[in-house]
Amino acid sequence: MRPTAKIAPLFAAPWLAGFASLALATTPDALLDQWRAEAGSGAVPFAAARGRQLFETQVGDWSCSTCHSADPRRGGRHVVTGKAIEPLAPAANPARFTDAAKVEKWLRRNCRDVLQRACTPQEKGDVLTWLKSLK
Amino acid sequence: MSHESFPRRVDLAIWCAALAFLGLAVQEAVAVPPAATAVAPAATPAPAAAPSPRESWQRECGDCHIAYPPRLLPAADWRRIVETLDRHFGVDASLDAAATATIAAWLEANAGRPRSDSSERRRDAAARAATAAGAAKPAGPGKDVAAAALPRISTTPWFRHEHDDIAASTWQRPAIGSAARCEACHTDAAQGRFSEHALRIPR
Repeated sequence: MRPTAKIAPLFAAPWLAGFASLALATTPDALLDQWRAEAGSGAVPFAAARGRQLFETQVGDWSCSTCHSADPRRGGRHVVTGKAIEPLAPAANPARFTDAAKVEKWLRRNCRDVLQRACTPQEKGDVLTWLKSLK
Repeated sequence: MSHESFPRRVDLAIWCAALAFLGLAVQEAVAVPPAATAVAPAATPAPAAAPSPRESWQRECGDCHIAYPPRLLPAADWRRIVETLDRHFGVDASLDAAATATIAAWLEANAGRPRSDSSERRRDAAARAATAAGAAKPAGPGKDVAAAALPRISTTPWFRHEHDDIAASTWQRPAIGSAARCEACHTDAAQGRFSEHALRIPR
């Protein structure tokens, strides 16, 4: 590859990063509706208390709060790399739960990391109900 | 860090440095800090333009750590890393198939040059040396069985050479904690630069 081709992205990146986005916009309430529908007839109403309990449950080395902190209105820190993590609670960080693909990606990864399995729609709904209740 | 340590011709390195400086100026002029876009993607509805491979890399590989520049590892090492993203140094960092393919191709196209000795031998020797120095130990809990076999930037010979004056106790300072956090000392690392002028080792 020619050097100019190689370094051209240096210039393109800053403004491309600002504009190019294929994010599928959503809201916390729309996600709750979606997970309620996915949970089907066997589901019980989403409960903040259950969500909080799941968030703090330690399986093996980690819980959700290991990286996100026990108070998701505050930021956390990645337990391996130490990089800062923005607050999870929508009241503290309105950008949270507004990008459907991002939400699903991180739940897929983090449920596997912490619980060693996928989260159920019921569990996702419980946790988001709790996060939404934090003011 | 000296330019000679990078697998690049010196003249190209000088051009890159000059252009990177220009890039910074332009970036400040348009006031779109990359860090802000990485944390919170544009909230306004965007025109339906596909992200460039570089943007995909920056966004997807810069969440848990800074997006490590592709020149820091050879193509074969990037391939191994991308193929095992679901077991990435103890965590699941998997991506959808399209993003995986895009980023793999971009990393390999922009990768550093392979070393003359075999990648496997180099990794083994480097890992032993780094473990002895205590520099490559992750800060978090275990869960990194698969990580032992993955290429690590911090165990490459050039990394160890560049950091051979950093004591083990310095790496363990709370404000540093891990060799994964380039930005703890290289204040321009998130922008892909590692200039001596931007080097600040926290106390």
